[in-house]
Amino acid sequence: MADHFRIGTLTRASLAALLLGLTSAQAYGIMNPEQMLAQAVAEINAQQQTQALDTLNQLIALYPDFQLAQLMRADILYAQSHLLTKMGQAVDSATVENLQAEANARLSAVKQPQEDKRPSYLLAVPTWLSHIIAVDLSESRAYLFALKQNNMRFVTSFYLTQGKLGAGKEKEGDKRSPIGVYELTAPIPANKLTSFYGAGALPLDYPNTWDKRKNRSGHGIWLHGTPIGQYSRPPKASDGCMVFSNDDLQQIMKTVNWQKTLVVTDNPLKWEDAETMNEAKNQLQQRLEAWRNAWQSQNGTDYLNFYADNFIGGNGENKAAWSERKTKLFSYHRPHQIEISDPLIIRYPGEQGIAITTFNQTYIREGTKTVERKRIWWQRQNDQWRIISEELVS
Amino acid sequence: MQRPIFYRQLSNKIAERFRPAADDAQPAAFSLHQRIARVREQLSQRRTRVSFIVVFFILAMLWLTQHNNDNLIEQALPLPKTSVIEMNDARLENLSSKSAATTHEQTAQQKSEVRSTLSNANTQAIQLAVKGDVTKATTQLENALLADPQAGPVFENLRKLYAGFAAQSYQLAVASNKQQPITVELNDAKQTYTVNLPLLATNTNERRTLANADNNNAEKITTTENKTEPSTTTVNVATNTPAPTPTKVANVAPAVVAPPAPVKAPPPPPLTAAERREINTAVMAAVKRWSEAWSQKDSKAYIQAYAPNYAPKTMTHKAWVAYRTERLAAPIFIKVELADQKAILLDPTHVRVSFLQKYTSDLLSAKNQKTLELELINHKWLITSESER
Repeated sequence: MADHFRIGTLTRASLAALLLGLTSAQAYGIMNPEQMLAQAVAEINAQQQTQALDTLNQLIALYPDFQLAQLMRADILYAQSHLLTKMGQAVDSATVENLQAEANARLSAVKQPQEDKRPSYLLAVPTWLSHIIAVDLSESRAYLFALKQNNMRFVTSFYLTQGKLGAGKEKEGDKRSPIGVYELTAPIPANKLTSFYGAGALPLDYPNTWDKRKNRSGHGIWLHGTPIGQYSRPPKASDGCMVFSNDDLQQIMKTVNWQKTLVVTDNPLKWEDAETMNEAKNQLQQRLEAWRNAWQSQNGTDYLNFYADNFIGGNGENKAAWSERKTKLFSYHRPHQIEISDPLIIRYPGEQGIAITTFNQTYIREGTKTVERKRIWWQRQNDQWRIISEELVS
Repeated sequence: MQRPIFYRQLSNKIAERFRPAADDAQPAAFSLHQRIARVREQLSQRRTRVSFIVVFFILAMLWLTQHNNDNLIEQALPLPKTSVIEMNDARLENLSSKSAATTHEQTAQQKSEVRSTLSNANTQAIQLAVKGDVTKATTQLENALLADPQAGPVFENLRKLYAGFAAQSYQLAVASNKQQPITVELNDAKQTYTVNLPLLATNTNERRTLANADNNNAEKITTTENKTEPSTTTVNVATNTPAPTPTKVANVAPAVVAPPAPVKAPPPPPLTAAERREINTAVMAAVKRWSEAWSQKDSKAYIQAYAPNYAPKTMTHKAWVAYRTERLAAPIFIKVELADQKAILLDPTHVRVSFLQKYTSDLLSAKNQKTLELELINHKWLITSESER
C-alpha cells in the first residue's frame, strides 16, 4: 500500500485480514474511532455502501472533527451521483493528500504485534519499569506494553503524527522526530498549555547523553494531543513532537506512570523473538558482571580495559584522566565491595552496537553503604562491548 | 447485498438519531441500485408474486441458454478482482410485469412501456459491463435514468442532494471548523426550489462546554491562547457571554419552574459530541458487564443488569427472574461474545444497542443479532427491552 490509498484497491486478502483483526479486537467492548473507520472501509470494499454510511454517520456523530471520517462520508455520498475513482477526488486540496496518507497509515499499520515478537530493544526489565511505549516512526504507530519482570504484555497501539520531515532528529528546527530511548519528564496538564496541545503533554528527555555526544540539538520534544476541533493530524505534520488524538493521549496519561515508563523510537521498529534477545541480554549481563568484578578486585589493567578510547565520563573526564584517577585510587588498596541489582539493559535503536545498562549500585566501604543509580553506555568495538560513558542518574 | 430487514430498520433509526441534522430529509436507502429498484417498484405496484416466481424460473432457463456466450466472455474477461459488481437484469421482472399487464388497464401498460425502456437500457448496460466496458455501462445507466420522463427528474434531484451532503462533509474534511452553508436547487415539472441544507453538527458546542467547565482557568487559557492561537475566537466569544448557569441546574430547573410559565419551554440543547461519547462509553460498559455476568453464570449480576421489575411481554418479572436463573444455571459453561456493537441514542436517557451475539455453552451454540434498549435509571444504564432475530 505504498501508493495512495484508494477505495476499492484493498485486496480481498487484506480485507479479510482487516475483518479478522476487527472481530478479535472488538470481541468485547467498544470499537474505537479507528476501528469504526476500518469497518467502514471494509464495508465499502464489500459494496455495502449503506452500512458504510451508517458506520461513518455514527463515527462523525461521536467525532465530528475526525476529518478522515468526514472525507470518507463525503466520498460515499459523492459516489451516489458521480464516478469516484479515488479518495477525495472531488476536492482539490493539500488536506486531501494528508488525509490519504493518514488513511494509509491508520489502515495499513500492524496494529497488534505477533504474539511471540517484541520490540528488540528491551533486553532486561528492572522492577521499577512498568510500561514501554515503542514508536514505529515508519508506520506512524505507537505500541504500548505493560511490563512485569520479564513478562511483556501488549496493551494497545495508537496512530501518531511525527515531524514534517520524518525521523532522525539531528538539530534544532529540523522538523524531525528523534530516534532513541527516552524517559518522560513531568506531564504538563492541558490547562497549562494553549489549546494547540489538546489534552496535555508528556515531554521526553531529548537530547539524552547519546544525542549530546552526537552533537544533536533541539529540545521540547513532547508527546501531546491535538487542538480542539481536529481529531487527528496527518502522519507528518509536527515540528518533531509526536502527536496523538486526545482520547489516545488521555489513555496513555491515565495508564502510564511517567516515572516508570520509557519511550523507544525507531524507523522502522525492529521486532524479535524473546529467545534470540536472551542471547544478547546474557552477553551484556556477563560483561557488566565482569566489569563489577574487575572494579571490586581493583585490578587496574583489567578494569581499565573495559573502557573504550572514546570514553567520556559523567563529569567530562576522557579516558586518560579517568585512568589516572582510577589507578591512583586503586593504589591505596582500600577494600571495598560493589553490588549491582535490578539492571535495565537496552539495545539502542538506530545504531549498530550501542547498549545501555542502568542499575542500582551499592558501594560498601568501611561499613558505609552508598546506593546510587548508575548508567553505563556500551559500544561494540572489535567484537567486544566497551564502556563509552558512565554516569550517575537520579 | 440485500440487508436484513432488521438492519434496514436500524439504519432508519440511526438516520433519525445519529445522523447529522442535514440528513433529516433523506430517505433511508442510499445505494444507486436500491434507489433504482425503488423507482421500479413504484412503477409496478400490481406485480403479483406468484406469477413473478413462475415466470422467473421459465425465463431464467431461457436466459441461461441464450447467454452462455456472455458467460464465456465473462470468464475470459474477468472484471477487476477487487470490484465484482452485482448487477441485476431487470428484463425478467419486466417480462413478468408485461404478462401481468395484459390483464390490466391501459395506464399499467404505459407504465410498463416506460419500464421497458429503462430495463432495455439496463440490459444493454449489463452487456457492456460484462464485456469489460464498465465506464460506458455506467454512462448508459445514467443516461437511461436521466432521459426517463418520470425517473429522470427524481434521479437528478436525488443526485443533487447527495452531492450537497457530500459537499458538506468535504468542507469539514478539509477544515473541520469552517463550514459554509450549502444550497441545493431542486426541480419539479413546474419550477425550481432552492433548498438550504442545515449545517452539519460540529464540535462548536463541545468547545463552548469546555470553555465553561474550565471557568476558573478561562482567563488564563484565553490570554495564553490569544498570544499564540489565532483561531480561538469561538472560545473567547463563548466565555464573554453572560455567566452560564451550571449544566446540572439547567437540567433540573426548567422541570420545576416551567409549568406555570405559559410560554413554550425552549427545547433542551442538543447533546455535544463529548456527551454522546460519554453516554456511548457508559452504555457499552453496561452491555459488557451484562454479557460478562451471563458468561460467568452470575445470575444475580445478570438480573441486576436489567431495570427493576423488568419483564418480557410473555411473563411476569418474578417468572422471568426464575426462568433466567434456571437458564443460567443449566449449562456447565456459558460463553457470550459480542461483536459489531452499535449504539443509537434515542434521547439523553434512552439508548438502543444492537450487536452480533455469539452464545456458546455445552448445550447449545447460537449466533443472533440482538437489540437491547437501555435506560438511565438512578445513574445506571439498565436494560428495559431485549429482542433478537
